[in-house]
Formats: sequence, structure tokens, C-alpha cells
Amino acid sequence: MTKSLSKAPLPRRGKNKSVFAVAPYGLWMALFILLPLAMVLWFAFTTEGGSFTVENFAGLHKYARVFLKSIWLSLIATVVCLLIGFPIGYLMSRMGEGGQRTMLMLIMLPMWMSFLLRTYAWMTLLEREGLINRFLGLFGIGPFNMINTQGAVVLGMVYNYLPFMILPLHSIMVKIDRSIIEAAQDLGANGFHVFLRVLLPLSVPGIVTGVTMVFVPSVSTFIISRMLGGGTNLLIGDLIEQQFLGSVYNPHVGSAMSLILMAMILLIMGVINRFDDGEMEGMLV
Amino acid sequence: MKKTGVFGKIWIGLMMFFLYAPILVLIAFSFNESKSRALFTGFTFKWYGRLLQNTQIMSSFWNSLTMAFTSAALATVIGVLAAVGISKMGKRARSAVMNVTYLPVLNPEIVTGISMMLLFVFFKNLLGSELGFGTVLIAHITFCLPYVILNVLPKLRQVDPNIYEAALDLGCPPVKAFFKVMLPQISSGIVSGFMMSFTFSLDDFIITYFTAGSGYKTLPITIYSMVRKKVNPQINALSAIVFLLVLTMLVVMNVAEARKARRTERGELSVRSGSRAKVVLGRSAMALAAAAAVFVVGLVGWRNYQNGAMIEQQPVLAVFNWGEYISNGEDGGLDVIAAFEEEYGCTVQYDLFSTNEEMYTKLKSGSANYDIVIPSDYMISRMIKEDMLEKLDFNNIPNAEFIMDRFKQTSYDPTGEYTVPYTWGTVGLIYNTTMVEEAPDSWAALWDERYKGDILMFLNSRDAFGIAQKLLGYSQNTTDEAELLACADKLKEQKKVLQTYVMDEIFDKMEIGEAALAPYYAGDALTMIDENPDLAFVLPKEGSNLFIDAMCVIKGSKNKELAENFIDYMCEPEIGKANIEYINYSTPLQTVYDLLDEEVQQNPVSYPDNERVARCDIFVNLPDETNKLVQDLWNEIIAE
Repeated sequence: MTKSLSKAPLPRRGKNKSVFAVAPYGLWMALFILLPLAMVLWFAFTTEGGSFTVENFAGLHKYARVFLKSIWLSLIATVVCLLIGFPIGYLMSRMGEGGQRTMLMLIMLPMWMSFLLRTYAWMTLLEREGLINRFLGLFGIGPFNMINTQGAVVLGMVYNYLPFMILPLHSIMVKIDRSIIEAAQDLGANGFHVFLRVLLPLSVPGIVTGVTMVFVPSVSTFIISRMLGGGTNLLIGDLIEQQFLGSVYNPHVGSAMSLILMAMILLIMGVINRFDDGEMEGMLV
Repeated sequence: MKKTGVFGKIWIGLMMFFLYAPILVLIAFSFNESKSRALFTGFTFKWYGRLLQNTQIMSSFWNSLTMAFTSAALATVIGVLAAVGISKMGKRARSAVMNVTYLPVLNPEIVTGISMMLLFVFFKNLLGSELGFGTVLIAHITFCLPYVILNVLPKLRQVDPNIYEAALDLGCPPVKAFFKVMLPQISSGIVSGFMMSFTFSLDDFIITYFTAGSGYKTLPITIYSMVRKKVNPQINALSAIVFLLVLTMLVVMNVAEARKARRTERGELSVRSGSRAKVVLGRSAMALAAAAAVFVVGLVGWRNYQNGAMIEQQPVLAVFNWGEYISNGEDGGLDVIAAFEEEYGCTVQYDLFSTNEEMYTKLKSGSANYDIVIPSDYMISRMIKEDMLEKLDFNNIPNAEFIMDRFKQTSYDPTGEYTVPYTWGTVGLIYNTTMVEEAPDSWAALWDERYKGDILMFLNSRDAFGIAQKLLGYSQNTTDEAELLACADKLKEQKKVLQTYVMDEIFDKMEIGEAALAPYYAGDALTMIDENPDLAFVLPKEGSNLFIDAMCVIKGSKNKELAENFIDYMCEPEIGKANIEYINYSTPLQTVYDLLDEEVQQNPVSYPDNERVARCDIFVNLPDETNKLVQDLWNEIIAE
């Protein structure tokens, strides 16, 4: 990015004025991104009366298990998405133009239906009297207990966020030159080695973006867990929602939870981003 | 290009099946004769016909479309300007701006949502600006902006600055040069930025949920309010239409694209392989834009029709009530809301809640504004104590005279100045006779190992503790710490036999035989028994909770008189009868009771004998420290 700019530096004349084009956005950011986050910070460290406190954080240790469970389930969901999405992204990138077009279309199409409804439909599928168990029942198998389990929550996450894994993977992989893979094969690498030494390293930016775009919404969801996990599989998102619009009104504790959630995500993202120093490349499909 | 192998094809096929199975289920159930989401009872097109008449669904769909269009358009304008500015910045300034730009993308949506809610409520307290269209618009623009900027920036990088310079050198004014030279070169980035914004805005639920307040509803918000109890198949019908429209547009665009590509191949390869994906996406984006245009045109007609029918400047009465708690014209009953709107020339904005605590939180958070709420006894006394209710002017509520004597003097509103009772009832056990070995008579059935995995429990501290309290022989209004701790232990012990904690979902799950036993409210139990004759209801021998739900006017209501008219209207004998017959709860009004069928009057579920009623407690508001203890214990129980 910087390279192309340094190649052709702009004369000062154009520069000063154009920078002002960013002004409305700058104001917007300050008002509607930074200020709200500052308010979260303020609420997290104050009591209802407005005095400083760390009490809001002190009580959170009770929820350690909920936090851990959220991270654990969303990590599983992310890995599953990667395992499903990586081969799909690769297969797509090797297709003809028409094939890629059709595949992209088919992957994006479900996003036009409300995700609440699609998740609701999973309830109909997974329930004990649901369609899957009825179908299996025809062969005398089951019934299986699928709804209200952690597995159902993971399934909901994978289902909703899989496209966000496939799309960046595809847009990175389509840029990988076929001749590089062929060269590796010519030089005697077997399939596994081609994957491990060539394909995987070249796909890293797509993987990082995909992992981010699946992990972040998974770890903070509050609908999927509620609908598919029942009341026994609460996640952090549910706890936060409860404090603001649910059955427990306490925006101060809710803000503290949100801060912890943000910190956790930043930490985990920091680790993942060690693999890749670029920007969120491939995020833009 | 290599052909995809067999394994590849299977893999893709499996994934597609995974992606589309729920969608097929949704579409299939849009043709279902009954409202059940699990049992297919027969084929019908009726939901498609009713959809167009459903103002609630159609207006929220309209709101979603206008919101998506407005926010995407504004985000595009601000975002393109910002991208141009950012591209001209020095390295350090740019990386600072970009870091902030990534924030809404990397931040969990729920955090963005609550942070904006805090801000908007703060503004509301400061300036009196309500949450609604404006706040949702700001929120949507905010989360769309990064997508516009991140789509446009790479295009700007590809632009050769010398061309723009040349234009300036040749005497072109900068603004004109921007439109003539720069814009055409970055247009594909702008289009995909706009389309991504449009799509995200259209499907956004989480951020809208926190920033919409009470009056403004997009389609996802409307769907969410239904998901709790029962999704109207009309929603399935709407989704099926949208799905088919988008599918058709995409297929058409795809075919056209393929033809063009073939022609290009025959001529020369003008599409560079590197940008293929982007071209493809640009085209699908255009297809989506076209599809969107089709909906808008189609809906304008509907909208005009609606506007023509509506009288301008009608007062709006905002009512916050329990789900499925008013006669709405289905099952051949009276549409009470519509009848009231017509009689009083006003618009009723009708919203639902599923627990008293949820209602309280929504009011307390300051994001919602209502004139009338219908909470239960203990919550009412809390709200009176916290000065959240207006005293009623009973001159406007002549029908209040006919309240039965025992509901005139109540513990929650001792002076009777704040409330008019709407319904009452008891909490009992609903069970599926085909799934239990003998008819239960005690709350202990909810702890019975034999029904492990078939038991549902209230996801609500007060109701859940109430059951444990009765089982252990305590008062439901106990403040004794040792007793409460014992209840918490009892509830923890129950966890291993539970299927799950739920509220309104009990309705659906019991009806379709998903569970064997659950606690629930007598009135709803009758509705469920109507739908599924295998179900039965019992008021356990230990006694239970007797609740009274009453209508109150929220402090600061701008339509207090209209609100009182509404309360009086609900007490009209015929209206009350329509409500009672639809929701099956018990009436506190003598005039309404007298109109009911004898069979209903004699039904022990709705009107239990005095001996049983005597064993029930009415919740009172507990002291703060007890509430806090119960809440902490409850959080521990469900989070464990």
C-alpha cells in the first residue's frame, strides 16, 4: 500500500484540501464510535450514584465458567468452519468463472433471509419431535437428543457464520497462481506437502480474516445460544443482554462484562494476528 | 480449469444441503395449514393472502427496506469522502484513522449495540430525543461506514494520481475533476460498498435491537418478538417471496454474465484473472440492487394504499403487554386493538414482553416509551414505590365500578389509585398425559427422575423460586436467608432432570409434545389444551402463586386521557369477553364473568374453588436486599 504511494507522491497542492474530505467522518467516528465506548468505560467503573468503583468487575468471577464456555464453543465453531470452509474455498478457486459465480451466489443467498428465522428453522429440525428425528425414526434409529445441547449451539454458530469463513478464503485463494502449485508438484512434493508448504502459507491472510469474522460474532452471540441451547447454555452475550434489556437491569455490570469481552477478543485476535501482519485482506469479498 | 473431483462434489453438495435445509423447512411451513412450526397439517396459500393485510409485518418490512437504503446511501457518501481524505493522509494519521475504522468491524456487535444505547439514552435524558428511526439510522451508518471505506480505499490506491493531476493542470476545478476523473475509476468499489451496507443493514438484528427504543420496528425486530412464542407463518411467506425474488434476480444476472463472458472469451480476454472475483461480486451486487429495486417499487404501491387509508396526525398510544394476551381477531374473535383504534381515531403501538423483569428493565433503561403497561402484582408495587406510575382518573374509567370486590382491595395497590386489574390466574403444572405415568399432584413432579430430560422450568427468578418455596413449605414472600438458600439448593438439584429453562417457549414445546411437564399459567394452559387434548393442568396440592395482572399508566404519559379510555375500553363487557375467550385467563370483572359460557364459569382451571385459592400466595414486592440475594442466587443457578 505504502509502496504504490511512495512511487508517485502527490504534490502538496492537492493534499491539503482533500484531507478535509475526512472531516465529516472524523466527527462521526468521535461521536458515534469513540464516545459510546468511552461511555461503556465510564459505566463499568461507576456505581448507580456515579462514584468510582471496581465492584462491577469484582463480582464477575462468578461467571468465569460462562466466559470460558463462550470461548470454548466459539473456538470449536471457528475450527469447524475452517475445516469445512478451507476445502470449499480451494475447490471454488479452481473452478471456472461460471462455477465460481454460481458458488458465490449460492453461499451469499441464505444471508438474505433473516438469521433469526433460519435459526428458528433449526429448532424445527433438531427437536426431539423434530424433522431429523422423525426421518431417522422411519429407519428405527433414535430419537437423539440434539436441541438444548452445546452441540446445537456450535451448529448454530457454524451455520450462521460459515459464509464469513468461505468468502475471504476464496478471495485469497483465487489469487494463488496455479503455476506455483504445479511447480511444487513438478519438484516432487506430494499432495500433503503441497497443502502444508504451499497452499496453507499462501492462504494465511484469508484464514486470519475468516477466523476473525467467525470467532468474534460467535463468542458474543446471544440469540443462537438462547434458541438452540435452551436456558442452560448461557453465553457471555446472554449475560450482557440480560443486564441491558433482559431480566436483570444493571448497565454498570453489563458494561464491565462488555469490557472484559472486548479485552478477551483483542487478546485472542492479537495472538491470531501474529501469523499475519497485513490488514484484513480478503475481508472485502 | 480442472474439473472438481467426486469427493469435492460430495463435499460441496453436503455443505449446500447444510446451508439450505433450514431454508427449505421455512418455505415448506409457509404452506402449512396450522400455525404449528413442527407439524405439517395440510397445504394452504392463505398465509400469503393474509400477509398483505398484516400491517405489523408489512410496515416493519417497509421500515427495513427504507432503513437499509437510507443508511447505505448516507454511509456511502460519508465513506467515499472519508476514503478520499484517508488516501491523502500521512502514514501515521492514516493508521490512527484506520484503527478506529476497524473498531466497529472487530468489536462484537453486542458491544457496539449497548455502547450506542448508552449514548442515545444519555442524549435522550439531555435533549429529550427519543430512540427510534434517527438513532437506528445513526447506528446503521456507523457499522456500514467501515465497509464502504474498506471497499473504496483499495480502488483509490489503483488510481493513477497523474490523471487527476493532469485534469487539474488543464484547468479543471478540483470538484469537477473528482466527479469526472476519480469517481468513474472507483465506482465498482462504491457499488460493492453500498451493496454490502445494504445487505448488512437489512439483516441486522443485534444493533437495531439495542438502539430502536420502542416505537420503531424493522423486520428482524418484529420476527424476534414472535420467535419467543410463535412465529406467524406469514413471516415464512414473506421470506419465501424475498428468497425467490433474490434467487431469480441472481440467476438472471448470472446467465447474462455467463453469456457476456463467453462472448469476451471468443473475442479477447479483457477480464484480468486477478480481478475476476471482484467482477463477479460486482455483478452479483448489481443483481441484488435490482432485486431490491423491485421490492421497493412493489411496496410503494402497498404503502400508498396504507397512507390513503390513514388519517394524518393521529395520536399514538403505546401499549406494552404480555405476548398473546389480547384478542387479535384470529380464531374468529374480535380484533380489539383495531376496534379501539377505530372508535377513538388513534393508532396503537402494541409491543410485547415475556417477563415482568424484562418489562421493568426496558422501562428503566430509558430506551423505551410507553403509555400503558400490564405488569403483575409484585412488579406493580415496585413501580408504585419507585414513582413510575401515574394515578388514574377514574372519571374516565366508569367500568372500573364492576371490578369484583376481592380485586378492589389489593396488596400491591392498597389505595386502588394506580391500577385496574386486567386478568388473574394461578400458576400450575401442565403435563402431557401420554408421557407421565400417573397424573401429578405435587410440584415434586418437576424433580421426578423418571421424567429426566422431559421437564421444563421457568427462566425467571421469582417464578422459579416461588415453586421451590411452595414445595419446601415456605411462603412465596419469604425474606429469610436460610429459606432462600435452601430454595436455591433445591433448584440446583433440579438442573439434572431439566430439559431446559424457558418462558413463553413452554407454549410451543408442550403443544408439540417436546416435553412432558412444565409449570405454566392457567389461562395459557387452557389454550394449549385446546390445541393438544393430551395435555392436562393441575394446581398442585402445596399451593401456588395467584397473580393479578393490572393495567397502569406510565409516569409522564403524553396521552393519559386516551390511556384511561383504553383501560375503560378493555373493561367493556363485550371487549372483556372477547379477550377472556381468546386468552383463557380469568376475569376480575363481574360484568364480563356474567357474559361467559357456563362451561367456562365452572371450569376449575380458570375459577378454582376457594379452598384451593386459599393455599395460593400473591407475590408482594420484596425488600431490595432480598431481591438482590434472589437475583444473585438465580444467576448462580443458571450460569453454573
